[in-house]
Amino acid sequence: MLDKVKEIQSEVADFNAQSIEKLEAFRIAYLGKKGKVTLLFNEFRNVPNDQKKEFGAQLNVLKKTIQSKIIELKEQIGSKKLNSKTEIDLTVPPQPYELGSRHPISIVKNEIIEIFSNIGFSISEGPEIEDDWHNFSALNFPENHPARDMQDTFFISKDIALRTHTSSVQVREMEKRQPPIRTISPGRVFRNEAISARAHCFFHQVEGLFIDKNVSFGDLKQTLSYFTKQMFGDKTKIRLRPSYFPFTEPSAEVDVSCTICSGKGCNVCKYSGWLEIMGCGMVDPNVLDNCKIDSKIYTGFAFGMGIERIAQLKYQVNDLRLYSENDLRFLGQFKSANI
Amino acid sequence: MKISYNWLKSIIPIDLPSDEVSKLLTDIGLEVEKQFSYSSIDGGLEGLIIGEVKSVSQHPNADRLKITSVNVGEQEPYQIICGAPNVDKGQKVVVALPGTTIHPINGDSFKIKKAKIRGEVSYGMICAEDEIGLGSDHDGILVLEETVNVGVLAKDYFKIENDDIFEIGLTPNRADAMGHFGVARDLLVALKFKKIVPESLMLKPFNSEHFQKNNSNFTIEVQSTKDCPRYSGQLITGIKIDESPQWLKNKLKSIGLNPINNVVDITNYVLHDIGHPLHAFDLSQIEGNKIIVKKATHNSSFTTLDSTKRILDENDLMICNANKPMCIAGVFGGLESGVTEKTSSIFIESAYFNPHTIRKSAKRHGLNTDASFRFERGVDPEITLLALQKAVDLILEIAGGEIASSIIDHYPEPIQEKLFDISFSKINSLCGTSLPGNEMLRILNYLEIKIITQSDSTATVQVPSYRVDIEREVDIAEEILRIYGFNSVDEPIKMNSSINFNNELNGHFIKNKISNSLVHLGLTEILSNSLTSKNYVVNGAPSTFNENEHVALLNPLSGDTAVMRQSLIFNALEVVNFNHKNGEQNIRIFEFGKSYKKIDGKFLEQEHLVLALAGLQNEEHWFNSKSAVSYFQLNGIISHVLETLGLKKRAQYSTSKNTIFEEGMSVSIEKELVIELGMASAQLKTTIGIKDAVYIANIYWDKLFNKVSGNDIKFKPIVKYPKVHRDLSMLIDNSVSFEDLKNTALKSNKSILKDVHLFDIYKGKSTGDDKKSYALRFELQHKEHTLTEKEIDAVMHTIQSNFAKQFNATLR
Repeated sequence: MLDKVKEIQSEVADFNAQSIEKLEAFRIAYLGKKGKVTLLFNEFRNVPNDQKKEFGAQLNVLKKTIQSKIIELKEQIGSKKLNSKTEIDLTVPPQPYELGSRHPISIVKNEIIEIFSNIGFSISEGPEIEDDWHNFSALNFPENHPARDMQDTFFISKDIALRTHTSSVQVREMEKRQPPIRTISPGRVFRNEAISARAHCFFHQVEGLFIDKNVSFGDLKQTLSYFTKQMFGDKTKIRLRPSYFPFTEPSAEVDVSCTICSGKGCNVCKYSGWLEIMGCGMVDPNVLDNCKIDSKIYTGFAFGMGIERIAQLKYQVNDLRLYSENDLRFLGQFKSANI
Repeated sequence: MKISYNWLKSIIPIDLPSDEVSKLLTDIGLEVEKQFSYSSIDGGLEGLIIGEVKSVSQHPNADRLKITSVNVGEQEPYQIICGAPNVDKGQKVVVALPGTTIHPINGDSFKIKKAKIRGEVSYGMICAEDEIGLGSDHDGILVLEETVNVGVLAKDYFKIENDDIFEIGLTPNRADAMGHFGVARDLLVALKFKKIVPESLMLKPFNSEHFQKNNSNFTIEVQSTKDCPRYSGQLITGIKIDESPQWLKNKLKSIGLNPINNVVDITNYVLHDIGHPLHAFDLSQIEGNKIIVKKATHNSSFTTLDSTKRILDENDLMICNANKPMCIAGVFGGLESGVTEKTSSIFIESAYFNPHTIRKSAKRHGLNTDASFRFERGVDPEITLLALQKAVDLILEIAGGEIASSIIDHYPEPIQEKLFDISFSKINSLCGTSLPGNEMLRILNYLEIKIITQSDSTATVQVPSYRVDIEREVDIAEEILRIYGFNSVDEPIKMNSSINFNNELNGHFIKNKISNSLVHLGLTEILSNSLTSKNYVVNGAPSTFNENEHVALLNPLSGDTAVMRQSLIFNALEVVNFNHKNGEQNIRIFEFGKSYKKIDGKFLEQEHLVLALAGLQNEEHWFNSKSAVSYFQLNGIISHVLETLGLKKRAQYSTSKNTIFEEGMSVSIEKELVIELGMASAQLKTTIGIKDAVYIANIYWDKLFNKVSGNDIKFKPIVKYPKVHRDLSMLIDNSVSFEDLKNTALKSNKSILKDVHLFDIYKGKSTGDDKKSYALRFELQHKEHTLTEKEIDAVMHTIQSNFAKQFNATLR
């Protein structure tokens, strides 16, 4: 019996495997169910009692030798594989996980929403086919007033139109509940304008509304400063120009310092250093009263911007039509935008 | 609205750079959209100089040319070759020396160079009137009066006016600034507030030395005082209609108006000067010597100055003579009653019409004239007489004639100036400012808003009649802020905010989540127009879209955008087609958007998520086999969406009968249709012009979103006992579906059979044409113990025998 152990020991010492498969065959030949060493363990009870101790010890040593030889060879084979560069080309393009892209208008819309969400604005939405009351009358556009000419409108019937701004959603919000109201309304709007690089018959807006006690024009400026700094960088400045919207009083147009030249003057800002980005103002008391909110108690501010305009400044898109053509060569450029 | 800086300067004596004025105007709400320089003639005669012809001799090589020597005030005279027949010694002429650019009446401008003409050098040119843009005469060189000094610049001699023009984007509320006078008045407020000019500076006053003469033959009758609160006018006889003098032509031209004749030009001048529209009637056309202001008869017709016949209705206010209408009040004059070359007597009208009346008429007739623009915004009712006097004075001065009537002024109920209270603290609180009351009053004073009474905290103010936009305290706040400066308001340090509670599911967030996961599955988001072609609705797929339900525009831009879309599928297919044409064959797109319908008089806007796949699943790549997009890929994406929303297990598939599909499936949740998907029908593709296979899915997002429950995840203890898998390879009829097999299996055992997978499909010689082989893998697990072989075999046996019974399935 002991001879057999020695014979196997020399066989093991001579063995050298080149592949994992051969090593596995070696393991099975010696340590498998019907392997040579396993069989010797089965023979143990037939060994005379006086030899049992030595035979057992030898056999255990043999088993451990084989086990450590297998581990050692396995490592050798593994490291050889790693070092061989000839067999597989690892520079081939990786397994493809193709990435699509969000539309730039969605990307910018999300960014605007996130900025205002961070300072406690909720999101509200409303219908695009809107009645005269919500789109015009409640917003202090008197019938037969030139203010109605400010927005070229698509009509469905005499009193039904495609909303020209998402201010209509603000009216609906004010009718729904009493202040405080702090909400933004993103959405699609329509204007009866011939389609060109600078105008389109539909586009997207985000309008904001904050109504509470003691809301001031200063608060409005602060909110817009915060927004423009978040959107265009913390060095961005704003400038307000008096303007007119029927639903706000006072009303202002907001310019930001040019995002391209930082105000030094360039082609994009027509050498003025400023870019117009939105309209804003203090909600006109008539609008509050129209929506059953007491204008003697509450004041508020409102602002509204075109998403296309913000995207235009952010990505320097020079033709509005690109947004609705859906050319994949255009859309594919926004894959890495942060959304 | 164009405003001339020279004109402004004739009203307020200032001498600021035009850029500075432009900025000031913008700051006070009269936004200068554009600023440009203007010269009364092209090029402004820049570089041209007056010279004297010292000698003239015949050109040796050309009969028609002469060699002249011209003194322009320099040491040496210049030799200039001249072809004009009238050139003569001693003439004072306009000379263009080499380097000068001249701007002829006809043709492009060009630069004069030293040149050799038939062998003789010519240093420039002696100019004819048309060659320098001064007139159309080309009979010879322009000969000036003898007294003019040599060396004088032509632009000074001809008094060429150079001006800066501000293009102001006037907002509808600023009726007070509809002319140069109004703009100057507002500019002066800003100049005083900023202490650029002294407080005592006043606008140049207008003094009329106006005569009146009684004329009882001429009468005025206003039938509708509501539409015409004030009607003023005066007669002038014996005038001569002619061209206007140069200064008047220049003024009008500088703001882009074409001079017509002296009387019309004067009314236009007054309109742009003080912002009040006037109208001049030919007195010989005023039948019955009577003016009647009244509403038109319904359906009567009237021909306006532009020779257009217009149908009137009872809302149109007309200026009539004793027999017929002569003018649509405040909007447009009539063809017959206007001033012509033959006119010798006129009636000048200066009225205040109701803004609504004018706007309605102008709108209905599609007219927007300089007059209607002003009347519909609201002119100053107190200015009619001033405007009238200004015009009459100018007419007498320029067109001659004499006053033939007293000033007629029909103003039965004078419009009251508005009077109301303001509170300083409320204004400060609205503006976020802390201006002292007297600072506010100082601004109001500049604005000519009268302080009737005042206390420490309040004041009663009276608003001048020209400020139609100021009616309330908040309007005063705007005025104060406008002059104080929007940009001077400080931003607070802390934020004024409030809390919104909202427990509703955030639809925006969930749509974003789905969109982003679609992007990661390789799809690109599109946004398409909600306005579409009517043809798509009618011809595209009659079973889904109903012509009676479409929302049509009354005033569409074009046929392609005449109705609201009833489906986003056409848009998606258009995008597929558009990109195909650009050479992109592999297209995977999605869009979130609305469809619009009108059902029983109500408008229905529904949110959809539409997907479209065309071309290859992936760009060709060594790793993938080349495979075309398929229903199964599309369904895989749908399944991904359903799983993301937690709805996968509740979704039931059935065959779709929708004809937009060649072959398609419907997905319902609790019997409500939520998704349709399949291969676009040939008819649908033909409508758009696509040949390749396109797979489309239409998700009724509102319905699907309704099924989403917000917070239904509850932790379940992890089962410790192992899962077991058993495979069966079944030979079945072609008609048997996987869904049938799966449902049968799951019904066979509800406690330990967890799921059924299909891991191989085979069809070939060994299956025969009418059979197929499905290899199914069954997943089994018990919550409380490790499954025994016996338990497993029992379940598998039941499944197998149910398959045999129901589907005639046999083991392969």
